[in-house]
Amino acid sequence: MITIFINDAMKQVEQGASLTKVLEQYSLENDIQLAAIAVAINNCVAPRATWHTTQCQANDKLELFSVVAGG
Amino acid sequence: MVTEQLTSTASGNKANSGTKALSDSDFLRYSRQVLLAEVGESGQAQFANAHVIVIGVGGLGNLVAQYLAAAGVGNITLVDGDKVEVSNLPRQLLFHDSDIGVNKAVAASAKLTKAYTQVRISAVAEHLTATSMQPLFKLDRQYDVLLDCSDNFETRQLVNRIAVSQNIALVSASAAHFQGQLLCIEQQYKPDSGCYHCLFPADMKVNQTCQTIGVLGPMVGTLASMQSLMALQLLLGNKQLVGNLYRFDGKQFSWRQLIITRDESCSVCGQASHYNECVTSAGTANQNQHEY
Ligand SMILES: [Zn+2]
Repeated sequence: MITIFINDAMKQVEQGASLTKVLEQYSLENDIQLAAIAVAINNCVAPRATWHTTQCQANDKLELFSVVAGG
Repeated sequence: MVTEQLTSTASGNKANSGTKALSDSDFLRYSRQVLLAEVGESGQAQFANAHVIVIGVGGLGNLVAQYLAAAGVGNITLVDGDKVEVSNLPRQLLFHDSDIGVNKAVAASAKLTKAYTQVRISAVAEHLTATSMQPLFKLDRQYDVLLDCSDNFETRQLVNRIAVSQNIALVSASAAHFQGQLLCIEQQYKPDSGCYHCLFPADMKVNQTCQTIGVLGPMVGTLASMQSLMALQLLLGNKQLVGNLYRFDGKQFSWRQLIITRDESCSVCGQASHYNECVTSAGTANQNQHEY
């Protein structure tokens, strides 16, 4: 297991876990729709298409957010 | 003394060829802007010669249009098909009770034209759609900056497609509840940043709109001010903000800054990355198959 941070909270995930797997788990635990999530790793946005090929590294800082469309 | 100072800062600024000198009255009016070394007389002339288009004249668009007009941005096109409603008044500060029922672009344009006679403001009383955009974007490089002040995800996707296809710098702001987002994209300058669709794909689920979850006026105002400042920076040639997403939390008063990354498979801006692939794979058998 490795430690990563999701929105500043510490989280244990499996070594080599893909972003998709981590986000799926997070969305289930927090009752958020996966389709509503955008994510940045260490301050760089990770496009959705890269999630399944991106492996989380120890101490990665994930920032999850949703789109704001109002104006 | 003051004049000397102004002249010296202005001469230190890169002059934009083809711009005319400021009149005495404009020099006085915009003196606090011209005083900035980053603006100077030439920067003010760049504002005067610029043409920006504002999509949506709601909470964001009201303030953005007013800030840019007041700053002396010479040509402003306002686009909105909505009419003023009483529930708009707490945050759409150009409008008053007597404007209820009037088209927003028309009402805002009339007021700003009266208040800022130095600038040309035109109103397009239509929602931006694939059809209504045609006459607005028929000339190449017609606008210097495209400001997305719209209130829904579909329009934001369309505005992004226009910005990408027309190579216009896009400054997109949004606010709902206590969350605000601001980003700047310019394909020609920073293609690695991709586009709005790379960040928020069209099939993404959207929960936050002002209609369903509410918003405070100053929350929208904060984002509108930042959006206006970003547009002015772009008009001055300061491109260091391009490719960044700024997220504001109006409860915690925190700003977070993220770097936007191109999605190589993006259906909107992906063609350029395909083009790059073709260029870098020169020497392979299919190198001549793609000539854009
Ligand atoms: Zn894109």
